[in-house]
Amino acid sequence: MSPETRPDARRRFGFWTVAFVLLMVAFAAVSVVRYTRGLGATTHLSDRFPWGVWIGFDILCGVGLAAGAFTIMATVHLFNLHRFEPIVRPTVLTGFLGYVFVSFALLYDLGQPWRIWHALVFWNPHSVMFEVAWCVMLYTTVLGLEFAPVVFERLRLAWPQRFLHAVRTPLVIVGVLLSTLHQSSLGSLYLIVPEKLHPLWYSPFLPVLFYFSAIGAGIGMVIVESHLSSRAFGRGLR
Amino acid sequence: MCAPRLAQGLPTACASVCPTGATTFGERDALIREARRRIAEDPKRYVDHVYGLDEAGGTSVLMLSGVSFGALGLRENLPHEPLPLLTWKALSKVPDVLLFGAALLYGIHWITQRRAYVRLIEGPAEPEPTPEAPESLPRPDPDTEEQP
Repeated sequence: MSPETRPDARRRFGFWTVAFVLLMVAFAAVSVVRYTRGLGATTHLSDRFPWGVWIGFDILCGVGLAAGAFTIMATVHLFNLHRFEPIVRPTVLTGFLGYVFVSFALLYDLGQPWRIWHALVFWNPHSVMFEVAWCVMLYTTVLGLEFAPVVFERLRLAWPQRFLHAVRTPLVIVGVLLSTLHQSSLGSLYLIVPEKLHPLWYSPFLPVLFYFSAIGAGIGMVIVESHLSSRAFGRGLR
Repeated sequence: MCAPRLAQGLPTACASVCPTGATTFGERDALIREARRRIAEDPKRYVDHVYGLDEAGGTSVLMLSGVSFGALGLRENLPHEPLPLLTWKALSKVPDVLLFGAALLYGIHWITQRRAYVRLIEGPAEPEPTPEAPESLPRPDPDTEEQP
């Protein structure tokens, strides 16, 4: 069933449209308050509570769910399992969008978002945040390049496609490594606060646990997303 | 703490004006000795612990108290090693992960490509493998034929 023949395609103001419009209005209002009055006014964060609980959802889970991209890229291009080729592009797009959203959310989470570029200039290799910042920047770039062939195909530009095809293997390897470091460093963040975590949660292997759970969650996200897109676009599971 | 004063060799402002000596300033070793002396002189008055001696690997401010330190709002479950070491144990492995990870992944890629290449030349049905595979034969390019 193509989108044109769907009966609800003509229904302009359905329930979800109204819901999303309301959400966007609320988002705009909160944005104004957040950028005029600061994080304290919008979130009640303080020096004693510098991180909100949502960071666990938007950053840690969000990045974990984007892990399908590097897993599938490695499966297809490094392990040569070309059975999974059809899901590469949607998965890479999911990962890319996930990282873009995370970067966008960071502009709201950071207390001083206008300093987001500081990690580029002021290096502190002893800081986990430094590793996270570099991984986010580099891996978002890699994901963009991995998805770029789709754009160039549509634009019918040959030479960027040839170039991207030539550097694909190094790009995939760099992507897998950056993801490995990024997913694990999100666990390393918590290594420094053993007294704030419950002893059941805390372990020196937190980075490793974050990494492997991200692979599982990423593949799970690919399955959910393939299912939803096959329902929405009527293309059938691939 | 009072960086401009310390640069001139002066004690911190709070310590310099304290009339009773409840806040003092000095070298850490001397302060630890002073703290132990005060506890030993009046053991009933103080909890037998110098807060900051080992907490988080040892802090720049040391404290004595008559009530438990938890009652003062200080964390009593801090580890006794410097906290940055906890993350450094993970961060120091980053270069290794990059180097060995890159070598491993490229190795896997080489092996899988090689297997596909050999399969292409020898063919799955051919019983006799041809040992002299021409070097000029193009490598299998999976992308050209697998597009849906």
